Amino acid sequence: MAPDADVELVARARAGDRAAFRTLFDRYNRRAFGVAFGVVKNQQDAADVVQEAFIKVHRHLDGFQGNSSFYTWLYRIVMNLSIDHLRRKKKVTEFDETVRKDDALADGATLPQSAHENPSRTMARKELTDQLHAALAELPEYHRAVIVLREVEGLSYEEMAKILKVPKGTIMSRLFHARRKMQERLVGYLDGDLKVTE
Amino acid sequence: MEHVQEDALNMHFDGELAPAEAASVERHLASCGECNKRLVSMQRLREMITMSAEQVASQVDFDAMFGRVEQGTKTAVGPGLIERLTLWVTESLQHNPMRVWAPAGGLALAAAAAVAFVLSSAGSGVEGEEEMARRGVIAEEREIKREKMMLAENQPPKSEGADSEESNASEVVQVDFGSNTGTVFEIALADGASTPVVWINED
Repeated sequence: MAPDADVELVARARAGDRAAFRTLFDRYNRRAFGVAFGVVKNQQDAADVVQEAFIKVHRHLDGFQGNSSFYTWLYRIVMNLSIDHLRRKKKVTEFDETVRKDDALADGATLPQSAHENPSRTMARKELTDQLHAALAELPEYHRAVIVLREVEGLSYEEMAKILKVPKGTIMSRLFHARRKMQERLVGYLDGDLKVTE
Repeated sequence: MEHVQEDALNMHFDGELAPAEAASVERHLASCGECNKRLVSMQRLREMITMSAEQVASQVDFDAMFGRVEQGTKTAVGPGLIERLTLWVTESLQHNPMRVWAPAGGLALAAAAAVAFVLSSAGSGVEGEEEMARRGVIAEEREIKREKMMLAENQPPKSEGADSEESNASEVVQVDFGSNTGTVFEIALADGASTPVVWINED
């Protein structure tokens, strides 16, 4: 049986169908989390953002007319909340990027590893993750948003333009700049000269 | 050999090039190690970012999160007027602008009418100004009268005659000073002159 379309699930959720809302949540929670994490760079903060985003979605179901796709709508909320969260955090605390990077690493935000991976490989993987987060952290938030939406979500330029409410040309410019900066920062890991070995 | 421009290579990597352009880039890639290397670098970057995001997401308890979301939807108040209006305007502007402009025109007319009313009130602001002036005069009068009362208090103790002079007071008028009430009366002095005396109730 074909999965229910988002628009149908939204209609049912709007009518109070808890299961329909749960299906929407299950369908998009990981992707929404990936986007939030890419921007806020902290597991707990990203979880808070996603939680708040779905609460907002639920509250606004009546106002959602279904003209844009559900995930475009959801990602826009997630992105706005993520950026708001970053700005709020910057205002409230003096956390520098190192501390936040440490937070993310303390959360175990490393690249996948096998159960019996040897220690040197684990160290190399940790270093790689460390470098990745550091490189992401150095990007301005508007560059980070674009590269996360593209690389994690695989959204088209057009879809990103709708979500971020900027022209498609701006999306392209930001994405290409973000990629170039990341490539320059991670050159040793991306060009094959520095491989993770057993 | 002329390499693929950065923009074109990015667009090709993202599948955003038109078929003819994509075919041209493919032909170049088939024989250019340098451009292939750039493409591989993009691919590795994508894999790193994706794997990192997936790994972190796998550590989140989404069941527990859904419980908190449900709790939040129960306790959250409904969206405010501004939030609802913003959502409605945003969606409508994208898909049916007339839905916004028609009521917006009505609102503009209403706003213009409101401004006209305010301006006419301000012009008839004469009334407002008069009221302010009146209050100012009352305040001034009150100050003058207070000074006079103080002067009266500084006057030497009244003699018997003075008492009798007070008895020559003119008619007593109860006055409303706005926030206070008081009494104004005039007393005749020994030299034949007279002075007004004002008594303001402090309550």
